[in-house]
Amino acid sequence: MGSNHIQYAKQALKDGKSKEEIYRDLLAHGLKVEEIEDCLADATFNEDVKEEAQKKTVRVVATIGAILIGLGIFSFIAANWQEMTREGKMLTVIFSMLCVDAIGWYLREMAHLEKSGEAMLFLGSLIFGGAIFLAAQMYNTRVYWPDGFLWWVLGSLVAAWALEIAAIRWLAVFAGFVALVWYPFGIFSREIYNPLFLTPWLLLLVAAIVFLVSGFKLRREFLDESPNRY
Amino acid sequence: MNIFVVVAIIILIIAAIIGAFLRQKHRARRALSDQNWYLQISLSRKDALSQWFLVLGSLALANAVYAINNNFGEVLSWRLILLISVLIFGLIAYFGRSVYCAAIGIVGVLIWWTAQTSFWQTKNNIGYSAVIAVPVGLMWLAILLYAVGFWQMRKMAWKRFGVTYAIIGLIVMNLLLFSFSTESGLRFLEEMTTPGGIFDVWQNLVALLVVASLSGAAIVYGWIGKALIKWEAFFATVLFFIFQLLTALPNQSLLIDNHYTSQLTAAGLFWAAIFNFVLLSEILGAIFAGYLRREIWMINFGTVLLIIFTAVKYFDWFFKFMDKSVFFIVAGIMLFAIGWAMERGRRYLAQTIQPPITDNQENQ
Repeated sequence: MGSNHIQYAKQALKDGKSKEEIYRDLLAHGLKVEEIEDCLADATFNEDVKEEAQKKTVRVVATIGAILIGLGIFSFIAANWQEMTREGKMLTVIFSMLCVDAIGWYLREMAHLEKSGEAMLFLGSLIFGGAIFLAAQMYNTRVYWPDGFLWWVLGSLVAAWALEIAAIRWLAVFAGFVALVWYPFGIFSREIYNPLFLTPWLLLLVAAIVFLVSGFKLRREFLDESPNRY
Repeated sequence: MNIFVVVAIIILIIAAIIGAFLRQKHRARRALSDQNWYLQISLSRKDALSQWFLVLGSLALANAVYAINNNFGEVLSWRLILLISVLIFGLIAYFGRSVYCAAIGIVGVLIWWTAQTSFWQTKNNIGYSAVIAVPVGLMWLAILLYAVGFWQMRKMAWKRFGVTYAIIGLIVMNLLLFSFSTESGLRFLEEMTTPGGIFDVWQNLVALLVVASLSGAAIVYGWIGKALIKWEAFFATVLFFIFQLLTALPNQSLLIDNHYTSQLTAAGLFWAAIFNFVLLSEILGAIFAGYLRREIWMINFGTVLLIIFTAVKYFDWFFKFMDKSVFFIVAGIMLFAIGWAMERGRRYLAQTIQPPITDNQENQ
């Protein structure tokens, strides 16, 4: 197998020839099946890498775009904080979230623009998290602040379960990490001192169940793929 | 700003830096070969995500237990809650085959041991001596982890767990030996040998007996079952008895304070020499064991430790006595020479190492 055979395979693929045709041609040139497989692998390798890089670029650009839109929405609310009524703020946030989720769903499912759609759905999860803290602040809710992150985790995990988007799963990991590392400090320093003020063990328990069920489900999938390496 | 907020922010920043560094290393390693799969932090995105979910699930459950206990007026001590948390992590590590949970669980055990044995000593109010149970127990647990790690590494599927146990064991051993090889470590040892005695705190005594039995059994079982090389078993036995000896030490005077400086007594010099010698032997032993076992990670690990050991001890011993310009020039030349020797040595060892034996090869 020489470099001219690889060049031939590359050119043939570019010209739209099927792999069967390329096999036939190269067999006629006296190459063995294994050699042709290597040849095709070499010919498609760079293309695969390029395609993967392009996909990654799209994902990164779209995700950064989503984060910027999220920042924009919240800075709009912050800038008009005094002028807007409570209902106005909440409606803005909820409406933004629904719009973004709807657009994301449309892009992913209807327009088949997977990366852009997933970036919008990721933005939906970000707005959901922001909305939790905004609501808590507006209504002066008496809770220990990592609770907000736990609610965010629950929402994100449900979304991740339904949509199977890795970015949202990582968002849940981030929010969960912040909340759960902070929690013992709060209990230990008696920041959460009043049982009626809800040291929300029930919320923690629900978060534990949701994390464990999601974790074991994903783990099962991983172990099925890799039964001899864990 | 609340101190906990500051601590948490620092932890987050350090975690992010370590995470970025490990990810970089992980990518580079994965690109190199699939042969050392068990040294990878994660085998795939699914592996990493599922393990993170299990870690956070365990943490949430542990927090829930802690919060419930808090609501009921702290029926259980926080140390018992920590032990329960360790059990949660252990069970989930086993059923979920999660090495992250296993690692956190082991660190939890070590923290629990430190807290609980210190508490028993304080509760009995009999001076500082019984705190010797902390380093002795930790050393025995480290030996146990090392032996169990290599036992587990014999099964290919569990090899990542085995490496984790062995690495944690090695780190704990080094930290303990390093602490005792310094002036402050020796001062701590001196305080621990004031009258009182380990035998006055029965809880610590019983706990130490349990850990000693497990550790001793691990050495013997590891040696007979050939999970440990005979030199490793020998060295582990020596370490075991050196630390056992510490529990029976009579009142020691290791340092004499002289205005702003302190000087080692004859006994202090003896113990400083012992700990420094054992530490150096342990590091060189790790490199040698890596060579015999054909495990490149042990050689790399030992090499890093040797560099740290050399640098720290050089500063520790010579900074006060040498002219500063001479000190730095000698240090530079020495580091350059060490780097040259290590590069050559490591390359030689790595080249002579063959791929590790797998289950399939063993079966053939």
